[in-house]
Formats: sequence, structure tokens, C-alpha cells
Amino acid sequence: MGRYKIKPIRIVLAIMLLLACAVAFFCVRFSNYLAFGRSVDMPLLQEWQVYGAPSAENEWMFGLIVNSERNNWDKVEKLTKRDHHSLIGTYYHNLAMAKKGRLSQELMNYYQPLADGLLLPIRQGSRPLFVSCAGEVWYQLGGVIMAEHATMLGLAFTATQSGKRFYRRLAQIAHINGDTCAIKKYERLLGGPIDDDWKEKVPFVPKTDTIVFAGQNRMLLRNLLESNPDNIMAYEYLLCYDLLSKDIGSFIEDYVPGKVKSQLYDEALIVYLAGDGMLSNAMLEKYGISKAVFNNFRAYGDAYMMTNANKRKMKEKYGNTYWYYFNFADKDD
Amino acid sequence: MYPDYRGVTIPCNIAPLNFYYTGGKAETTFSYGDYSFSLKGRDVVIPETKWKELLDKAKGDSIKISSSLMGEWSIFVSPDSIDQYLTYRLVEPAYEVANWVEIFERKISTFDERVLASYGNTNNACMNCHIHKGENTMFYLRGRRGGAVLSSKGTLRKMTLKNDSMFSGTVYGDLHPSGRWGVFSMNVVIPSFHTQSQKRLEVYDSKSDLCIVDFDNNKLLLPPSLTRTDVLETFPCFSADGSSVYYCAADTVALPRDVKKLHYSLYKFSFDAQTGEIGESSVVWDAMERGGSVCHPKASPDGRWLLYTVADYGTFPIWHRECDLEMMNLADGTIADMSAANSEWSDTYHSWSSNSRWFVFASKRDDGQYGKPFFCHVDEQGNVSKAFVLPQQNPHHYDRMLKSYNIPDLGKNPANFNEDEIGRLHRYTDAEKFE
Repeated sequence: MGRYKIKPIRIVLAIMLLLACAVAFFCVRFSNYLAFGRSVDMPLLQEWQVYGAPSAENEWMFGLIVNSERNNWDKVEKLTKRDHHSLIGTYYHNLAMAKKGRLSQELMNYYQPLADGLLLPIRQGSRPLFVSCAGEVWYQLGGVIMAEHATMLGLAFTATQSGKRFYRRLAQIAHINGDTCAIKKYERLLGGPIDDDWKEKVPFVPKTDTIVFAGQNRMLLRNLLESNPDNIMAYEYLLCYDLLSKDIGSFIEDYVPGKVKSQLYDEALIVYLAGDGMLSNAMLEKYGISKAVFNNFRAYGDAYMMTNANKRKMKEKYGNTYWYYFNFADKDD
Repeated sequence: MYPDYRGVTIPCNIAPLNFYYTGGKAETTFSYGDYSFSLKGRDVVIPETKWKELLDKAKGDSIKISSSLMGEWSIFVSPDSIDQYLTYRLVEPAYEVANWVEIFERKISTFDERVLASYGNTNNACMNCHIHKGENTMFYLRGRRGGAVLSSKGTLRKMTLKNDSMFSGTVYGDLHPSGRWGVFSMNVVIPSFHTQSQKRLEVYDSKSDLCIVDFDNNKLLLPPSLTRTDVLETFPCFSADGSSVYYCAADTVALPRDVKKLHYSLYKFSFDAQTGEIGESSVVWDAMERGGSVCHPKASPDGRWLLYTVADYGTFPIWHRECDLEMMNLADGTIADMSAANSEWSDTYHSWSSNSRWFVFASKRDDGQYGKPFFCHVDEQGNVSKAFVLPQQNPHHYDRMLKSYNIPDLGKNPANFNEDEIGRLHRYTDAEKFE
């Protein structure tokens, strides 16, 4: 038999085919990584150095960021279907649920790192990537001053202090504020005008002026509601913020009976009524709390006594109730 | 066109006023007498040698510029030169925090820029409030191993300008012409936000007082009249001859609730440069009478003018869109017409050239977000010319700039230190104590 010689051209073609497959695999497998990199204007190699090699976790995070900025809330919901028990995952999950009108209904079914998962905090030690995400919820709520604040901080703390996703957000805010000169600057940086989806935010922008400090979330949310009582998303964020902060007093101040019906709010109302010794049929009727919820509360109380407030045992049956959260959730969780 | 340099008055020693046409390409001809040159294209980048020759010929007269796109206009070349060195901090208008802060020095007759102090060799320390006075320069390095950095008489000193009687270290201030003294404020600065988005940030002092610093004897003097708890005193500056100090003061109000009732007036007291003793204060600009709130008084070196900013209320005018520059004739108290200098955006943080013929200030005109340095000429009669922005080599520079030029400050000479020396000072030198 003669020797079989592989022609060099076939080796070259094989290598090229392998490379093409590798690139295609990368593009499909890490499409969010690529989309995020484009949005922060970073060449891939630099992005690699800054964010590390593509990983499933990073890909997932970038997917949350990219899809929320594109208002793909179905995709965000899908990405957060599995609870990663992470701050950023909860933040985007809560946002997606709020956009779909299900924030209060789903709140206790998901990991909640106290109130930080609602309004992502910016504090010393915050990851720059998280800083860059903190403005998204404020933008969606209509709180443009906080959205702009977070966007500027996010821009300042990127590796290159640049990025189209920041310019786009700043352009949207400039449009909302009517700052024509700023609009021109940011759209020039983007290479053209932006879509006009910012218009839907205009009705929710605060009309009254007051002084607030960074982190005074309750005041900011109340100010948003004052300007537009129909801002249901702000209303739900305010109530959920009160509840995740375990501030029942503020919750009762902010709660408007009948505005949004939710089992979470009913459970919280029972905490308030029980705490003030006002739990009675008349009060239950006044607040429209169902018998089923009340009976469940009684069962919770019995179990609490019987298990001697055993956290693990209470979590098994009542982990998805506000009562469990109120009694047991703490920073260490 | 951008920047708009039509009809401006420029110093005879400034870099080329490069600009670009927003509407397309053009042929642009610069001429004075029988000297002329033409440039073609959208970007008008003027060769430095040709520009210098043009300015030399046209000193005291006007250059004519004719454009195939925009017609003709002129630029007056003042025989008054301007101090050559402009110092500024580049910082994001990011509210409360900054990243990668640097202080730069730019030579105005060229495009040369160097870093005086950088985050890279100061462990990302915040640095701010740089000032010139004659041969002396001072700025602050904040944070751990920080201090007030003074370049004076050929030496660099790092100092802790705070003692146990002071509630904070020094913040805003000025150096005496002799170099021995400084007058500073101490402030507890509170940043906050307006919920109405166009107003953005509000920064106020919950406490502020003044002190005198004796650099030669490492002493801090706290006169009772300048440390009243019912008054917020701030922004002190020496008069041109150092015999007086101007400062701003307001009665305390409930903050932040009544921040819009915070109105600062301008006061003056005499200062004895031999003993450091001060006289009684008298009002120079009364906030109640005039309406508004005054900040940043700066006396011209020739002693004729006092330049300051006026906002509706408060003490941090850069975030007040309505804030404008005002210039008082110190001989008779009249206010000059500043309409050519001011804009509908904040105009503030000014600094005089040593010949009192020019001042630079930070303005947020153009885009409303990012402060840039603008220059104005002041003639013998106090007439103020149209403001123009610091020229850049790339005419598109400001389009891409996402940092503000903060506290532009003019100096006759370059700083006699560099960023490496500042880095070593930060790392290896302990701050001098003051009592």
C-alpha cells in the first residue's frame, strides 16, 4: 500500500474550520458577554483583562444587564428563574417582576438580601459593575436624578471611563429634562439619535422639589408618588422597601387600602394589627384581609410556639410568608 | 462652528483657536494686513507657527477671518498678555465621589499639558482646591497620608491645617502676598440632591468658620469674631495688598429644610500682616438688599476690582444654573456690566491673571453638564469682553470630554514640582503639625 500524504491545504482548511467553529461557539455561548462588551465600548481583549475570561456566572450577569436595558423583561425573568441567591440576581428579578406588575406577589418567593435587592446600594466597597447597574431601577421608576447620579458614578468607575450604555442613559435623561445641549453631546458620542422610549418616563418624573440625601430611598420614593399617585411601580417599591426594612410603621403610613391587592400586604397588615393589639374581625374586614390568610397566620403562630421559634423548621413550611421574613430574616442570610 | 470664537478678544500669547464647522467643510482665511493664510476642511486646525506670527503682527488690532461657509468675522488681539499657566482639576461631575482624579497644568500659549498630581501615585487620594499666589501654590491631598501641600520659597511642605479647636481641616482659602499667612475656611460640607431633576445637586455647609494660618510659625489663629456658631463664614480671600480680607457670611438657618433661605453677604475686615490681628467686619455686598447669595470673592491683583459669583441662594454655585459673575469697582462700589461674560448656565470659580487684565472661570454653557475654562478680558475702564473657551489642539476635544475642568486657576510661572515629587511627598513625608 502506498503512503497517504495529507495535503497542506487541507490542514489549513481544517484549522480555519476549527477556528470558525470556536468563534461561533463563543458567540453563541457567550453572546451576552459580547453584547455587554459592545455596550461599554471595550475591545474584547481589554474586556477579558477587566472582567476576566467569560464564565457562566459573568455571562448570566451580563445577560441581566443587557436585557434589562433593552426592556426584555421576559428574558430577564427567564434568566432569574433559578434563584442564584445573589444581590444582582435579586435586583434584576425584582425589577422584572415590578415591570410585569408582580413585585409584591413574588417578593417572598425569592432570596431577598433585606432591602438591598430592591434598590441596589452604592457604598464604599461596592463592585464597580454593580455601581453601573444601580441606576436602572431609578430610571424605570422615573427617579431621573438618582438614575443620572448612578450613571455618572458607573461611568466614573469603569475601566475606560467610557461606554455607550452610559451615554445612552444620559441621553435619555437629557431628553426627559429637555437639556438640548446635553442631548447633542451624548447623541454625538453615540453616533446618532436614540429611540424615543424615554417619553414613557416623562409623566413619572417628580414635579415637586425637595432636598434628599443619597440613600434616603423612602423619601425619594414618596416624592415620586407625590408627583404621580398613579406610579404603581413606585408605590409597590415603596411598600416592599418598608417591608424588607421591617419598618411596619412606615408601611402603614404608605399603604393605601385597595390600591394594590396582594397577599404580602395582607400578611404585613396582620403583623401591624397583631403588634398593636388590634387584630379583630372588624379590622380584618376593614383591610379586606381574607379568612384564609388569617387562619394561616394563626397556624404560623402555633408552629412558632411549638417549634420554639426554630428557624429551620419554620422555613420549611412558612419560608414564603412575610411573617417568616419579619421574624427571622437578617443580614447574615 | 464650535467653539464659537467670533468677535472675541484674545491675549497676544494664546494657542491657536482651533474650531470645526458643524455644517460642513469650508475654506477659512486668516489675515492681518498683507499677511494671510488659508485652511480647507471641516476642522480648522491652525499651524502654531503661522498663528504666532499672525498674533505678533496683529497685536493691538483685529484679525480678519473669512469663511466660505459663515462669512466674515474678526478677533481682537489684545496687547495684554495673560499668565501662561492654567491649573485645573479634571473630575467627573459625579456627585460626591470621583475616580482617577488629577490636577493638570496647561501652558496657555501652546497645547502642552502636564500632570501635577495624580491618583496613580497618591493611592487614588482626592485632591482639590489648588490656588496660586505669586510664586506660591497650594492644594490639598485628602485621605490617609494627605495634607495641605504648599509650594513656597522653593520647598514643598505637607501640613495638617487642623488643631483640636477646629471641627474640620481647612478647605477654601487664599495666600497672603507675603507668603507668610493664609486665610482659610473650615467647613462641614453636606452634598444632597434636589428631587427636581434639572436642579441636580445642592451642597451646603452645616458648619463653617474662618481661621488664619501662620505658615512661618506653624500656628492657627481662630479669632472669635470669625468662629461664631450662629453665622456661617466661608470663602475668604485677601485684598490685593494683603491689608484686608473679604469673606462671605450668612446667618444659620434650619438645614436642609430652609436651604433656599441661605443668603450669603460679602464682608471685609482689616488684616495686620505683622501680627496677624484682624479688625472689625463691615458689609460690602448685602444679600438682603441686593437679593441673592454671594460666593468666591477674588480681588484683582491691581486692587481695583472684586470678582465674585451671585446665585439665588446657597454656597455652591457650580450647581446653580442661575449663578452669574459680578464685578465690583472697589473705588466706588459700582457693578460692571458682565453680560458678555455670563451665560444662562452656571459661571463661577474664577481666577485673575497677575496683570488684572484677564480672568478665567468655569462655565457649564455648551452642554450644561461639564464645566470648561472660559476667559474674559477686562480693559482699563472695566469693560468685559465676550467669553471664549480654552483652545484645544483637537477642535472636537470638548465633544468627547466627560470630565469637568474644576477650579481653573491662572499662574505666572509653572509649578516647581511634578507628580512624582507629589507622590513621594504623599508616601514618605509626614504632615507638619500646626497648633
